[in-house]
Amino acid sequence: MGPKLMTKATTSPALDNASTQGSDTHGLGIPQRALFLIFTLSGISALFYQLIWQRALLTIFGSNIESVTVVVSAFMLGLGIGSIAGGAISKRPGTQLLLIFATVEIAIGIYGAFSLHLFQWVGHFTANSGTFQTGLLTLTLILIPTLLMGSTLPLLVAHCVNVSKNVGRSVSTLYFVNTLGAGIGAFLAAFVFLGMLGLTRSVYLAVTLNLLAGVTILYFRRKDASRPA
Amino acid sequence: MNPRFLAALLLVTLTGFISLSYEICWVRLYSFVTASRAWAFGAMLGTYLIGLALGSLWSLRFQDADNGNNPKHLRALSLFVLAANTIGFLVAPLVSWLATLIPYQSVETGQGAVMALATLPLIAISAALLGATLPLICHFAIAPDEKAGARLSYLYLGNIIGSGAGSLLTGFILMDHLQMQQISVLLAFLGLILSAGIAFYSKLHGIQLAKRLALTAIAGLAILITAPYLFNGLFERLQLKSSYHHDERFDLIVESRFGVVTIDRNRKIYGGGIYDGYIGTGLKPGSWMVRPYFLSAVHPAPKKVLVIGLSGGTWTQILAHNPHVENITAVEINAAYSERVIPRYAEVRSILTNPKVEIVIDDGRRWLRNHPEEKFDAVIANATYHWREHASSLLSREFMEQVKAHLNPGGIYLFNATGSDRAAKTALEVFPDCALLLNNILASNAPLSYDKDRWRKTLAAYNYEGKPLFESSNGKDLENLEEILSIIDNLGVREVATEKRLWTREILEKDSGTMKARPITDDNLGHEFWYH
Repeated sequence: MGPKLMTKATTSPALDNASTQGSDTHGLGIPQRALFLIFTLSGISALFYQLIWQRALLTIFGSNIESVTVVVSAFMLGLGIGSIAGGAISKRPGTQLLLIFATVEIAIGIYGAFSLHLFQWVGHFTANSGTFQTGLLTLTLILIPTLLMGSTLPLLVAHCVNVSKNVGRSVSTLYFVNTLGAGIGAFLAAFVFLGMLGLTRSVYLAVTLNLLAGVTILYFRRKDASRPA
Repeated sequence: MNPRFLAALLLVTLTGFISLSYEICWVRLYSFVTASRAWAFGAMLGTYLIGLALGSLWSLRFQDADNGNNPKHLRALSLFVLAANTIGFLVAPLVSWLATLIPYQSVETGQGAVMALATLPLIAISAALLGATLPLICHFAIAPDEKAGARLSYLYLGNIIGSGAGSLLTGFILMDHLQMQQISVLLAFLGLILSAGIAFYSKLHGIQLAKRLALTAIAGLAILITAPYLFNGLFERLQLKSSYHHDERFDLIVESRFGVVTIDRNRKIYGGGIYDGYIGTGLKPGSWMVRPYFLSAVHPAPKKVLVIGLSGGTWTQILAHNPHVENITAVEINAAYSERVIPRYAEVRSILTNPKVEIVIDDGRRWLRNHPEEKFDAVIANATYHWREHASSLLSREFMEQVKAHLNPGGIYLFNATGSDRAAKTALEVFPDCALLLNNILASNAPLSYDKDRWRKTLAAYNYEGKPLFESSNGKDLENLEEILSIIDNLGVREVATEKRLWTREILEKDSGTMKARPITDDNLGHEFWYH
């Protein structure tokens, strides 16, 4: 944890209240910069997935306007519902926010690792299916991981607000690092990795980033937990 | 839910709607100016996101420790929205004027397309101003307590709902009914209304409020007055680039939810800013239009034909007038061609009423997947340039396997490789026999055989609405016919002009460019992201 953050955390009376109503006291042990870097990586991987999945699904299910609609809507819907879910979880008493964040990142990575095979399998399974059924399945395939992705911002905002007590600053900073990562991810995918690695190997790269994010958080949590009180 | 939070929810929803609507417009803009490069979407999206991120960071300067009780946040927000929308409105015309500095010839090699990306900072500035709004609204509306994450999630959801609505409404409805100019004006006005609303809500009073509202009204008036001038010739500048001449205008511009199709005064068709065909069925020696006519040189009776990609309808019209062809299924993903382009041109219009022709609006791959029982004597795909977005979907090994499964014994697959060695190599790996006809690959599940006499008879029998393609009584016509037929004499000759090229499989297998090339697959995406 950065010194500034530690000072605020240990001197804020509001935090004492918050710590009993959903804060992550052990999880505060991660350095602020490391947390921001992790959320940047999360943003990079998210845009890798978006470009890869969009492309793979349009190839499998057709790149007509209806398919594009389903894919775009699924991304939006997943992020939105995920955000609500993340927000709801974040206000539950005793919630270990960073542990959940790490779990979500690892879950996204696991889904990502199997995603293209899953899409192909569903593609074969839905051959000759109606537009509605195909659309519904495409929606589901995207909804699962985007729901997880959408939950990460509220989780980390709740965590950082517990520390800084400044909503605008927390949202701005987290939104900045995550969106910056997403922007970098879009450039890297479009100009480097999709051409160099193709879809499958690019998706494995995104998986690596998610796992790295999750495992790093777990490492810092464990380190923090083992520290004498 | 308190009124302040409700107002914030409304603001983030509307901001999301405007932001995503602009993004949809800009994706179209950059796809068009880069001639539909696959990386254009990533570059535009990346710039947009980085702009949002920087805006979010910048918004920190306007936040203080009073947790949103200071109305100056809202005043700053009002100005951001005003500036973002004014710049957003100007992006398309500015990019089009800057595009006229790009050498036209460099677009196909990618250099010109990359140059077009030099205009992306415009997107970043507008996105940065929009990006500053979400954190400021959150700062204004969310108390710093244990429910901050939950409240943020509601605002985030509102923003996403607005974004989704913007994406769907603008992408699929507005773009089908309005032109880029009209959409830009509409979005700018929505933004100005939003800006004025925020100013009104920010406790500005008297002369200060009047000044702010007057500024917004002046911006609105300026947008209305300048829009017709700024957007006049927009797509001509974006497409023609340095070869654009003042006042040069296309014969037809069709803007729809499927994209932008333009047709110049020479009846050349451009889809998404790049050449995509020609309206005209005439056949002269040296003409590249020989390719669809060649079908009868390699197939004795192509009764049932599948056309993937109707475009302006020329190839389908030629095939529909082949006396051997009894039935054509033409699958086209862009309904604008059959609804708005083909009805306009007499030379192709009759395919819309020809009982031989069935036009299906669908994705070609999906149609094949959903119709496994359909078999054809010939499948024809006059596909677009191999380096364009989604081009590899019609050039990949997986797609060729799919086509092969839909061919009758001895069936022909004729597709435009547009000079891609990788596409040729892929066809060599999938089909037992292949040939290179000009820039098209002829492929079959059986050895290809060529019959000059049969082709001569077929061409001689061609007749468009009572007018023969070659007049039997006209000596010049007969001379032209023989010259066209002489392509078959070049079979197996390596050194020959491209417009008379007919390379056999043996020549292709000796061609080092082809044999060194990596086959295209659905996974490696061919030339789309990297040219080679």
